Order: sequence, then structure tokens, then C-alpha cells
Amino acid sequence: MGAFLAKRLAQAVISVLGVTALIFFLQRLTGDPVLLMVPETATQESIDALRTKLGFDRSVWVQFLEYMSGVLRLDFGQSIVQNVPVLDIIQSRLPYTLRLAAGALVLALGVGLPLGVFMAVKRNHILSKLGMGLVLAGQSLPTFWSGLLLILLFAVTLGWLPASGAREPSSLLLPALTLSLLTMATFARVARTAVLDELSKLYVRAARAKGLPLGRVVTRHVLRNSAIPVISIAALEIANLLSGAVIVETVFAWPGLGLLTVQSIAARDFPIVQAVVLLGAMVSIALNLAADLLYSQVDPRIRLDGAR
Amino acid sequence: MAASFISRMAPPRLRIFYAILAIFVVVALFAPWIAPENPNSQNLLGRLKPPGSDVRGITYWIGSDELGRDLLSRVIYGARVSLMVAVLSVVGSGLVGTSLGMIAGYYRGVTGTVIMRLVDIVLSVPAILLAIITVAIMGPGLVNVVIVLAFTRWPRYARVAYGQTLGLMSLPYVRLSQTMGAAGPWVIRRHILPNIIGPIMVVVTLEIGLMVLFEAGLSFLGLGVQPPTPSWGAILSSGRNYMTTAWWIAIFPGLCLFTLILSVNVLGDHVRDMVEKRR
Repeated sequence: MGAFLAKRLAQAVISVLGVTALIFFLQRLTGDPVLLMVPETATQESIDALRTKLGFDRSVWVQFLEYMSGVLRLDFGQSIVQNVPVLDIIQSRLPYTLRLAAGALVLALGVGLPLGVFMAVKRNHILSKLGMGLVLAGQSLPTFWSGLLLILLFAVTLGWLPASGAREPSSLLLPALTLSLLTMATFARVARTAVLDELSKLYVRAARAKGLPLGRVVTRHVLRNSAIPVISIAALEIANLLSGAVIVETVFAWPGLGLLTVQSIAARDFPIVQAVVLLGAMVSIALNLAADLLYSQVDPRIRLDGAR
Repeated sequence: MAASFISRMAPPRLRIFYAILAIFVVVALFAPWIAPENPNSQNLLGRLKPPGSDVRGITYWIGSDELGRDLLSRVIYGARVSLMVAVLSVVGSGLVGTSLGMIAGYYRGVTGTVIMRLVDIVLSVPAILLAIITVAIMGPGLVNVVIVLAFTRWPRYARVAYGQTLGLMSLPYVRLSQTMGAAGPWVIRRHILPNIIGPIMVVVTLEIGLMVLFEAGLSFLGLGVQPPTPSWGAILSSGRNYMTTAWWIAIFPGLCLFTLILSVNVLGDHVRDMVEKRR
């Protein structure tokens, strides 16, 4: 276990360093970063002044080291537009994105998993066929369209829920539902495949042969054994929910990190964009690591193979 | 032989999806002949007209937008943008990724490690975030979107090509041609590439739908194809402001996106099943 853990941790650290470098050099390679931050009408003097102020007139390597050491201390610099530390802005918006992603995760798990198990156990039921159709549709729906459809139905036509903003508790419902659809479909599909795999195994036939009812076999044995693929998918899906929030937050004017990113691009507030992407990458690397560790806890074969 | 190939590739339950895909391809290719109007010509008298309206001899079959442009023509030209971006970015990322993956798998050593580390790093950034930051740096526009998508997605191909190449390296015919002095690039072209093309095509079919989705998403955020060029994502985005008065602007391009992505996904799943079954 120790060797496996060390190897995966080292890989994660390399990935974080690599992503940080990638984003830094991407920005430097494609042109003058200062030009990204000033309005198109800025004079040469003000561009030069900003360049000196932000330290972009020094050598790239000095800037890189300074930037790296900043990132390690979670110091992402100052917002150019609002002139406050980027970390403060992110901290004020993060709770909204977390609330949205948590809501979506609860919905996706709550609907997706039971649906997947049902579609596997009652494989030829008409509702299972319908469910598979819904799963396919859910995987092909662009969130910016399903969001608008939900607004049209629940906010414009029925008037039950607010169309945008985050003023009331009920404001969370539509964006969370929109964000959850793809994940819900993924959970249903993965759960269905995992349960079907287990149902075909010999121990299930043995348990059935000695007279145990199907429902009991499923709840007592099958569900636990089919949890492995679902757990590993869950960690990856959380990462997808967080990045999917960019578009959903824009559709619903939900004041989280995604909307912040889009607004910052429009305002040319590049340090914020950079920090959000970097944070997103770090969270996704951490979740991947968590998925691998969980997976190896449940299934010792992976642990041994990885340590070799 | 040919008949059985067709029935395997296109069983009856999938033919509807082939038909939908074919319609979109034909519409995209022949947009100038099919579209009833110029997609960019404005008509201030015909603003926000509902589907089926007639204004001075122009029929707006699925309505008009906020500038009085014919929505049907814009959606038809949008198919062109959507499919063009998807195909170009898949070709770009596929070529780069497959080549790098084969090189990494064939030569291994430092080259292989560097390439595959880079793959891990790029894949560790959520794709939509990486695309957003790259567009923010490079600026929006059709060409940039293609470059960004190719840059974001090449690791998917590289990973598959690498794994497949590693598997082929120990096979007798590859070792034999190496022993006989064949140069690396020749072996890769002659023996490796033809044998990994199946799995690569699976990635291609699964990626096309994703690329359509990404282009629309970027354009929806205002980071993709720029106005007045019609893109489904951009039309949807402007339709958002008229949800209460002119629902059709957001509904129709979204419906096109959904049916196109659905067809590509269903067919992609089928191709994957076929390739996996054969192995």
C-alpha cells in the first residue's frame, strides 16, 4: 500500500506542477500578458506602466518562480479590475458553486443510482427501456439548452420557480437540476452495467438456487459488490459537476466561480481566470487521486498491480 | 458480404440516427442552396416574428430573431459551422495525438515518458476550463476555436495510440521488420498505424459529439465563433434574452444540437461495441 500511495501522490504532485507551468507558459507564449488585461483603447504609456507595476518587465524565469511560489502559498495575485486579492474574490464565490454542485450531486445520486439498479434488475421491463432512452437523451442534452427549457417551463410558463439569481432558497432547484442531468445519466448507466455484471455471477445463481428471493440477493450481496465502479465514477463526476458549473451558472446568473470566470474574461481580469482554472485542475487531480485510493481500498488487485 | 456489413453497421433500429446525421451533413454542405434567405440580412420590420410569419413576401418558417434575420437560414448555416469545427478539430487532435502516442509507444525511453507525462497533465485540467482559458488567451474566432479544441483533446488519442502501440511492439512481424533494419517511421507507418486505426476511430466517433457540444458551449459563452457568423451556441445565447417573448430563437438551434449530438453518440456507442466485439 505504501509504495502505491507514494507513486500516486508523486504523480499528483507532478501533475499539479505541470498544470501550473502549462497555464503560465500558455499565457506567455501566446503574446504579451499585459495586452490581455488592458482595454483595446489603452495608450502605450499606460500599458508600459501596468507592465512595470505587475512585474512583467522582468525575465520570464523570475516571474515563473515568483508565480509558482505564490501558487504554493495560495497567493494568486491581485484582481486587476477590483484591485483586491484574487483569493478573497474566490472565497466569496466558492460557497455558491459548492452549494450548486452539492445539490446536483444529491439529485444525480438520488435519481441516477436507483434508476440504474432498477434497469438492471428489471432488464426487460418497459420502464427500463424507457429509462435507457432517457439516459441516452440525458447524455446528449447540452446544459445551456436544458437549462433554458427548464426556465421556459418552470419559470416563464408555470411561474413556480425563479429563473435566475440566488436570492431565495428555491433558486437553487433549477440550476442544480440542469447541472445534474448529465451526471444522473452517467450514474444510471454505470450502476446498470455494474449490477448486470454482478447478476451474471455464480454466487447470485447459488443464492437464488437455495431459495433466496431476488430482492434480498440484490440488497444483501449485489449492491455492495457493484459499488466499486460507481465509487470511482463518483469522484470523476464531482470534477465534471464543478467544471460544468461554468455554463450552468451563466445560464442562471448563479453567482459562483463559473459566472465569475466568464465575467472576468469579459472584463479582461486575467489573474482571476488563471486562478479559477488552476483551482479547478487541482481539485480534479485531488479527486482523481481520491478515486484511485478508494478504488484500491475496495479492490486489492489494483493496489498490488500499481505498486509493482 | 456487403449486405452483412451494412446490417452490422446499420441495424434497423439505428437507421433513423444515420438518417438524421446524413440530413445534417447534407444541409451543412449545401447550406447556400438550401437556406431560403441570406442568414445575415436584417429586416427591421420582421423582428422577433413567430414561426410561419409572412413579412413582405418573406416567410419565416421557424421565426425570426431580434434583428429580423431568418432563423431557419441561420440554423442551416449554423450546421455548417458546427460540423466544420467538429470535423477540423477532431482531425487536428487525432493527427497530433495519434502521432505522438505512436512515437511514445514505439521509442519509449525519455521521449515516451515526456510525451505521456504531458498527456497526463493536459488531461488533468477539466477540458472545458482548459478550452476557456486558452480561448481567453488567444481570442475568440472560428480558427482559434479549432486550434483550442485540437490542443485540448489530443491527449485522448495519444493515450489510446500509446497503449495500442505498446501491445503491438512484441508481435513477431514488428520485431522482424526491426531486425531487418527497417527505420522507425517506416515501421510505424507500415505496421503500427494500420493496426491501431480501429480503436482510434472509436475515439473519433465518440469525440465528434463532444466537439459539437464544446463549440456550441464556447459560442454560448461568447468565446467561440463571433457574430454575425451563425453558430447554434451563439443563437441560443441571444435567444436567452427573449425567452418570454420569442421562445423559438432558443428552442430550434437547441433542438438541432440535441438531435445531432444524440445521433452521433448513439452511432459512436455502436461503433465502439462493434470494434470491441471483434477483438
